[in-house]
Amino acid sequence: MVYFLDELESKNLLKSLRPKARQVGVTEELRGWNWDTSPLKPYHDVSLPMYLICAGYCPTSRDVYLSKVKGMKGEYTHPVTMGVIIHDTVGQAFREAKLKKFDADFSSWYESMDYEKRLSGNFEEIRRCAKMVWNFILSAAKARFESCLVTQPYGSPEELILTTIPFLVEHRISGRLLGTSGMLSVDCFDYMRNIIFDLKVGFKGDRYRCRIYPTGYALVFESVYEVPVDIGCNVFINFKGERMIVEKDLFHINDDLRSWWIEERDNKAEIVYEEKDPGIPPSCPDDCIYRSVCGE
Amino acid sequence: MSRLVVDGWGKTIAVENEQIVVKEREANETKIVYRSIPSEIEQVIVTGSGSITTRAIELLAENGVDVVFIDWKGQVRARISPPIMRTVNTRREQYRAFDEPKGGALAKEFVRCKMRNQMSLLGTMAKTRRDSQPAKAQALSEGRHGIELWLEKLDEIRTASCNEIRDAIMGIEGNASAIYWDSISQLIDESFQFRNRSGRYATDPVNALLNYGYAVLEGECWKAIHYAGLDPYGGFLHVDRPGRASMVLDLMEMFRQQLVDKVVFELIFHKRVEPKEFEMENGVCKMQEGARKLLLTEILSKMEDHIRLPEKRMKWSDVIQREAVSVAKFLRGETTSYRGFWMRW
Repeated sequence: MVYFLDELESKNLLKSLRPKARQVGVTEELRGWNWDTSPLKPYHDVSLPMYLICAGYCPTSRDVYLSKVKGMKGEYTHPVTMGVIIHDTVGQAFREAKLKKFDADFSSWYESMDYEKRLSGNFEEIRRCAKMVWNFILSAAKARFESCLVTQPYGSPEELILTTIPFLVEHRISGRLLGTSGMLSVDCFDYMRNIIFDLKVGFKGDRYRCRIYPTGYALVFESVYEVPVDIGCNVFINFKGERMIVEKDLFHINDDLRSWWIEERDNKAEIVYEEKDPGIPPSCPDDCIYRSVCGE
Repeated sequence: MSRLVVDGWGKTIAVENEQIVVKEREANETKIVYRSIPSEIEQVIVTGSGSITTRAIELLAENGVDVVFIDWKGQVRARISPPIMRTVNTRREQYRAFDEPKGGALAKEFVRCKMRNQMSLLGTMAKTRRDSQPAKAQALSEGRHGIELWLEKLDEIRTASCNEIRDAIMGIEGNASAIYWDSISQLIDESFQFRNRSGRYATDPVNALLNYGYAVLEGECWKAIHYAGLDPYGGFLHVDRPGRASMVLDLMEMFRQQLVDKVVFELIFHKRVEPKEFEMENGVCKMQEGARKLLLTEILSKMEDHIRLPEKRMKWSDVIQREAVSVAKFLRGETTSYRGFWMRW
């Protein structure tokens, strides 16, 4: 249910993942609040957006070079546009839900965004998918809120909203301490259960690799707020005909993932700092936003 | 569980009331300096000129404890292990794999992990020197990058039997190691006279420390190989040679950097050992008692340290055991691939 965990996911979190995370633990040096010492301290005076650190689109990381050294903007392909609009839709739907506007109008919000002037893609399909997401989130949020109303007769409406929809969506946070952008946007942070969520739309690649995104955000959270964030969750949204499919990957943000993120950050920061072109890979991914640039 | 290390002249490991005891003779008096039930002992290391009684060997074997003898040059001279526990099937598959792509895949993976660990260690050392010694940090980063380029070449080698690809793999491993040791040599004080990795007969203190550390690691890997039911002599990466435990050496490749090199470098960089604690004897650099004890204590304590793997928090010695078991499972066909051990930092 996008960021709401279902019964099985909750059981997995409480009975398996949390105990395992407590047992295995995290090495102190790999906590974000140790950003001023090795290995977390950034090597180079470069700040990178999270997607450039974590995306494994280009096998040689030439996308980083083209974006940050050459200053080129990638093309808005259909999957990229779909991703942007679904992310916005999820964010706006949760904002409406928090204002208890469970019947907010999708069409008027969508039209106000002027997507078709700014982006490119098959908008008929994207609009249909976005509407599905919108309706789903508002229905789920309403159900949560109303079931809480009948069990918590003395809770104020504000408290009920904050506990039933405990999500900071599109939360802005500075990653400067860790050598990432000064204005990152975290897809979702569940402040009741301390989980970082990241949303993936229409993703077909290696799902394990996606764990590096919430890992990066967890490290940034730790660096800014100095509280441990040990659980991450990737939410994969796919569309099949008239149906929306949501799958989640809940995991422990362990030493291995943390070290991996640091390694990726350092490797990519080096490309930018030294302005070195890592070269064109033997084969380019079909949906790479720089495909036309490298193909020239 | 503890490791019993018996070193020095005049010490004897014996049995008294079904307990393992260490007796020491001083002047005309023999006194017991250690006592334990055998099930509490994980391994016995005899270094120097200690002795052990037949009954002690039997009791240790009954309890699954192995005994390793290491000489002052840092070579494993002998070891006594309980009878092997696995079926002959593992060994049959081990020998068969040598002529199949499976063996080549293992050899390649051992080298890949070794190079990865070398890169990790250089990367970690570069980071910690970034502010204090920027030039050295830069050189270490370049070394790391140099190994990475060789790693790409390793990945290009198609998987085939050991005989077909071993030369190519070893060539790459040699080049990567040359970069690694060259990078390390720039960090070590001149007084240690370290030029390069010299191997068996150490001519300088650093190599003496490394050789001794590797011998301790060899004992641990041998134990792991043995319990996994593998033949310690039937290796893939290292060439068969009479008396050479090639499979043990293969497994060791993935652990040298994290378990021995790191400890040795820390002892040197923090000046916990000094060149004056070494002496030349018949052309071989020899550690004095203090340095040898310190190194042994540090490495054995590291073996007991825990590391955090993705799914578990494990002792280093258990990680080695786990890798040996994974190799055996791969050889028996219980898993379709083998991923070796390496750490990112």
